[in-house]
Amino acid sequence: MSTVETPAPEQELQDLYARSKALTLAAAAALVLEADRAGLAEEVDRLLGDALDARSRAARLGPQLTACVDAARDLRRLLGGAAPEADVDRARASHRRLRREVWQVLPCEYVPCCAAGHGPER
Amino acid sequence: MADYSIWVVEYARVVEFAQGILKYGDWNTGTRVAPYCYAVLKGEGHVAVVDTGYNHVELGEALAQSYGVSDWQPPEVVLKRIGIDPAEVDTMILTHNHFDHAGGVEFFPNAHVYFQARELSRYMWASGLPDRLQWLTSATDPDLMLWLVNRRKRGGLTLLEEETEVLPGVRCIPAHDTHTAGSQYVTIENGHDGRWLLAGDNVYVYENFLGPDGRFTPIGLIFGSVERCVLTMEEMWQYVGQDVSRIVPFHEEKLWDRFPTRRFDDSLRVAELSLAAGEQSRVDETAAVAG
Repeated sequence: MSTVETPAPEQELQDLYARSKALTLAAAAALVLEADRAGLAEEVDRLLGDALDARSRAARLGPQLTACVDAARDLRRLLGGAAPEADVDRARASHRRLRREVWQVLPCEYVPCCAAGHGPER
Repeated sequence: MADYSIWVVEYARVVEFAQGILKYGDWNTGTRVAPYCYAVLKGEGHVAVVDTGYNHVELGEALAQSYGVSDWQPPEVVLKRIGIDPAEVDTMILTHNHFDHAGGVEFFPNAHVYFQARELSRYMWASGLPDRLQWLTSATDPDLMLWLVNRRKRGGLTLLEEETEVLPGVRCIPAHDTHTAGSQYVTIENGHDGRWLLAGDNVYVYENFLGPDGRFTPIGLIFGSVERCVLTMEEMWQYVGQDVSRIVPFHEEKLWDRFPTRRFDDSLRVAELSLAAGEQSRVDETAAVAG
């Protein structure tokens, strides 16, 4: 019988947050540049699925993983249609909430913040 | 010929800024004071800002704490010192997308934004790379990008791809693959006193130009190419006829010695680089405009 190793919750959160941030950045740039967004939407679908899965398994980091789910859901909505201003504002708010929640438990990832740190120590 | 008044307003500072970031190679040589500034142009029926500062909440506050930024004041305070309301600003030029330059965009609700398209397209490209390469995007945040989406929807954003005159005599010059992928600097052909150049972070301090050996030394935080940084410095140097006093770095403490300057009660300063005909000085303490 084989076992499947699952990553530590903090590692899983860090991965989800990194993917969320990268996809939000790419989505926003694509919207401003009026570039194709189909590939991004598929990536966000995968992110949402993984975030839901992580939240369902997690015994800890509930607020952070819920923020991941909400951010992915709002980003998916943004990519799905004409991106009205209200959807953009919702995606902004979700991203900011996710960032705030993540920084409660993980160090800030900004350059050169990683050398100074206003969040938890690495 | 167009004629502008030009001010540099200090909105915060870092008291202990690593020398090695300000000047490449100055490792382990200590720290110095680095002001955080943006520029204001007034003339030809326009009020323009070149960069915006940041908003001292959430990301801005977090990064400011990390960098040791102190004495922050919002545009409504620092612009009042030169008699300008942020709502009057009709033009916003962003030199690049870092928090201390582009993090205050929401303070200027009526400004048309000019930004290099490459700053967006390269982030879009880089964000699709494996996570191990995300240092490339780690000095930016998606929030500004999302703000730009709505500003574009309202017709308030122009993406630039080449040298462009955005106001009479005011040009945005691409400085791609330097400090950031889509940086730009700003030149002004001023009717009454000639050429000015607002450098953004393509240089941090005058010493980038004026090394003891006569050679240029670039900044120490470069997301693009060091070679492009040095060659862009040469481009700037030639534009101003090799007169470095016409180049304005936004993190240079010596600005206050080079230009007429007023220091306010909160210790922040305003430098007056140029006054158009009929404009009253904002740094003459006997004048009534500044508050």
